[in-house]
Amino acid sequence: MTTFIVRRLVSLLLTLLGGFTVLFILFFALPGDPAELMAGGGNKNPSPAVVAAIREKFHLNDSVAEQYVRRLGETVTLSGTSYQTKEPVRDVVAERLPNSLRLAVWAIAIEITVGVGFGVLSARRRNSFADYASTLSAVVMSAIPVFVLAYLLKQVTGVYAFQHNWPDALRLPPIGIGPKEWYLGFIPSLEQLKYLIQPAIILASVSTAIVARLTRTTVLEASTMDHVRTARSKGLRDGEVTRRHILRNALIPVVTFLGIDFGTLVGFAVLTETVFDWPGLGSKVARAASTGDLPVVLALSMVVMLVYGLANLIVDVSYAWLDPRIRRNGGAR
Amino acid sequence: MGERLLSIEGLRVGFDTDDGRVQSVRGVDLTIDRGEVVAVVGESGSGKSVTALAVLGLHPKQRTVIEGCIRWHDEDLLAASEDRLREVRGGEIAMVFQDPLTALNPVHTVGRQIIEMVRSHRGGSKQAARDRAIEMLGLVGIPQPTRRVDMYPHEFSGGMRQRAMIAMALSCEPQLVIADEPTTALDVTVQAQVLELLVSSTEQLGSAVLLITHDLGVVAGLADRVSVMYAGRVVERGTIDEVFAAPSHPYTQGLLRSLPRVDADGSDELIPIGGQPPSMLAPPSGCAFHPRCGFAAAESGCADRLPELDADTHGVACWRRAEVAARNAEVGT
Repeated sequence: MTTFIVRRLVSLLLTLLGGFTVLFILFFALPGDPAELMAGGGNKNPSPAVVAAIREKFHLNDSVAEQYVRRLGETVTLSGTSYQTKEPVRDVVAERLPNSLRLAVWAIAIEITVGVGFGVLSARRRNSFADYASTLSAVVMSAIPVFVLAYLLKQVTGVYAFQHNWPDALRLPPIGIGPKEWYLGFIPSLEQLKYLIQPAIILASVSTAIVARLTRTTVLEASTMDHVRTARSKGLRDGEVTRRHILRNALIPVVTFLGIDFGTLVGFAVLTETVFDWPGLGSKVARAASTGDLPVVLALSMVVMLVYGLANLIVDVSYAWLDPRIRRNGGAR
Repeated sequence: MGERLLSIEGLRVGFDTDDGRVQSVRGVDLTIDRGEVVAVVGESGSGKSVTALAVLGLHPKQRTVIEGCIRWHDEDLLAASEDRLREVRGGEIAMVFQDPLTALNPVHTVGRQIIEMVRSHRGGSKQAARDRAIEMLGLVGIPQPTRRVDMYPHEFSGGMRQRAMIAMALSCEPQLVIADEPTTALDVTVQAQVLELLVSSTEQLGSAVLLITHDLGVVAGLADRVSVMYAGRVVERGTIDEVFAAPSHPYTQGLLRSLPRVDADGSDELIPIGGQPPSMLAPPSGCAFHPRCGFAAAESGCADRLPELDADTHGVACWRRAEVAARNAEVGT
């Protein structure tokens, strides 16, 4: 197992290097002179002297190879500075990464509890009212654009709830990061929860629907396996059969999806972050990319790729826990 | 023999499909007394496994129509509550399935799968159940049971897996073990061992065995009585001696003639039964075997009237029993 993890970590590093290189090359290949952008934007005709000074200052006159090496060192040590805001990149990561991780962790928690829960319910009561209701809401949830869903939610909790004197717990602040009160890094205080809950629900909405559908399918499939019939023939309760003999086998595809999804939630939650003004990585990368802010784009992209890679590594390790056959075949080799 | 354990009366099992109802079992009578070994023989699709699963109520409830009576001691299992059925399953009637690789759950250790069964019927501590599991594994001849108990099914050989299945089935000392083609998925070399083990270990515990197989040769030395099934009905039943010495249904004769014999001098050819097994969606009229039967005759009404078993002891469902039986004398079986 250790060999397996080490090998995966090495390949993750190579992936990161490849990603860095592609982004770096793209930056030089795409139109738009970074020096001009920094001097005030491509269409503002900045003075040539200023542009030249900027070129000098940011080493844009060096050869591509020299720039590549310098940029790589700068990105790895997080020692760059934003072209746009002059903030150290390290500060940007330190502020944004925890916000993104917290939001993503809670969104994943919702996907697991609600998605898997409804998926199992649907499968066990196949073709019942509960199944149709859960299927329908899954389709609706994944079909409505995120910002529309967010707007509707905010209308209910932020406007309607106040107008009709709903209990405090249902009157929620429409946007913002909140008081930043976290226990053990990830557990929000009650006040913090009010700020977290809405973006977490919205961020989780589409994936929860997918998880529910996926779980329903895999549970139904796992239910037809021979060993499930054996389990029933042993006189186990339905709940025991589902928990011990169906779910474990049904969860592998769901776990795969959750692993990929976690990376996406951390890095690409742009819409949710924007709608709720939640200062995460995604919205920052999007803005930095549109303004040609290379140090920020590179550093944040690397962070996102790293999270993505680690999440998938955890998924692969969890396969071994879910299925002992993988432990021997994939792990020890 | 002893007291009557199970008596199946007029059992009919049908499955509703998109193409109409498949009537897999069309009126089966079968009895098993305490400590007896009864074999049910028939080809794929003859309804023998469907009958076995019906005894424990293991068919999916939707789309399955079961009629008749399954009398276990003095109660009708078809009318029993789900809670009562759970007590019976594994506790009073246990099953051994065909393919131990798929019938055991790959993600749990063999021990755990025995332990959960023992605990659900007998309660008690985990340790006590574990001791029982080890004891049972030892009883079925698995070497180093204390070590094997913590291994996964894929770490066992095929024969060992089926031994573990048998250990599991016997762990709660059931009064009846239903073995559904217990050796079909095994290497020929271990088939005899496993069957021997099944019969000897059940004998030790005083359990009766309902042995379901397509191989008439398998049952010769092991069973007390045999029922031959064809197209969802019993076509011949009797003691092993009666059926082997004087097979009186053309299908039984066909089965015996298609068996290789150790004592033959090589002059006896194996004679396959011509034609195809019938579709249970639309079984042939009259005697279901008549399209494949060399004795079928229009004046006997083979194609028009459904024959019933004609006797309680050596019963045969054939309109031309006398002619068929006479053939035994001719060929000197």
